[in-house]
Amino acid sequence: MIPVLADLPPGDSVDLELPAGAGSVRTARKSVGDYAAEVGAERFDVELAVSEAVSNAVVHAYPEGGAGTIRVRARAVGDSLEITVSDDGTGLRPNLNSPGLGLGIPLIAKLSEAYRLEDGPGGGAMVSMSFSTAPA
Amino acid sequence: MSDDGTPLSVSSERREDTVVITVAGQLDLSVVQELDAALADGAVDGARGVIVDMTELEFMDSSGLRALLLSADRFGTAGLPWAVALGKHSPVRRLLALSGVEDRLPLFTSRDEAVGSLSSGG
Repeated sequence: MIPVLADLPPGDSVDLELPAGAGSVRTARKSVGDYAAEVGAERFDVELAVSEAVSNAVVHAYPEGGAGTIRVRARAVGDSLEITVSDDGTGLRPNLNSPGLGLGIPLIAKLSEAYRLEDGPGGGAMVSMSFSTAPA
Repeated sequence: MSDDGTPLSVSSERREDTVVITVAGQLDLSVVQELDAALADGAVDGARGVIVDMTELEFMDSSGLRALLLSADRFGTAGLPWAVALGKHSPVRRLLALSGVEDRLPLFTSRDEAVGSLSSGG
C-alpha cells in the first residue's frame, strides 16, 4: 500500500507546485531526481517515471487549455521513496485523441515497485509511485 | 544555463547525400519539437540516408521515443535508410528495453557504426 504523503510526519522532501506546462517536466524531474539520488533510489528510473507522470498531466489534464497546477511531492519513508504527481484538471477519463503512444503508465508500472492511479482529492488525477531506497 | 540539467541540443548537417542529426542533453516533452523538426519530411528531403547520433544524449522519455518511432514508420514507408547511434551503456537503452521497441529501431553503438550501416546498405 502506498502511503498518502499528507499523513506522513514532516521531514526533508520535495514539494513543488508547478504550472501545467511542458517546461515543468524538466523542473520536476531534476528536483525529484536529485532527492532520489540523495536517499538512495535509482535516479534514472525515478527521473523517467516523474517525467512520464508530469508529461501525462500536461498533455491530458487540460484538454481545453487554460491554466492549471501540477503538484509533485516526494518523501523517503523507511526503505522507500514515495512520490505523488497530482493535477487539478479533468480527472481520469479516456482520451481517444491522445497524442502520445500510451507508454507513460506502462513505463511507470515497470519502473516503480508499486503505483496507483486515482482521482485526486481536489479533483484532477493523481499518480502515486513507490521506489526502493534499499541497497541492491 | 538553468540548474535543471543539460539543455537539449539538436543540430543537423548534410554530408554528401546523408543527413546527420546530432542530439545531446535531455530530451522530453518541453523540447521534443526540436527533434520532430529535424526529422520532418522537409528537413530530410532529397537525402539518401539519415543518421541520428544520440551518443551524447543523457536522458529521453517516451516523448522522444514517440518521435523516433513515428520516423521509423515514415522512413520505412519511404524506403529511406536510417540509423540511430546510441552508446552501449546509455541510460536511454533502459527506456527502449522497458518499452519493448528495441527491434523497431536501427540501433548502433557509435556514429561510425551507424554511418557504416548505411554505406553497406544494411
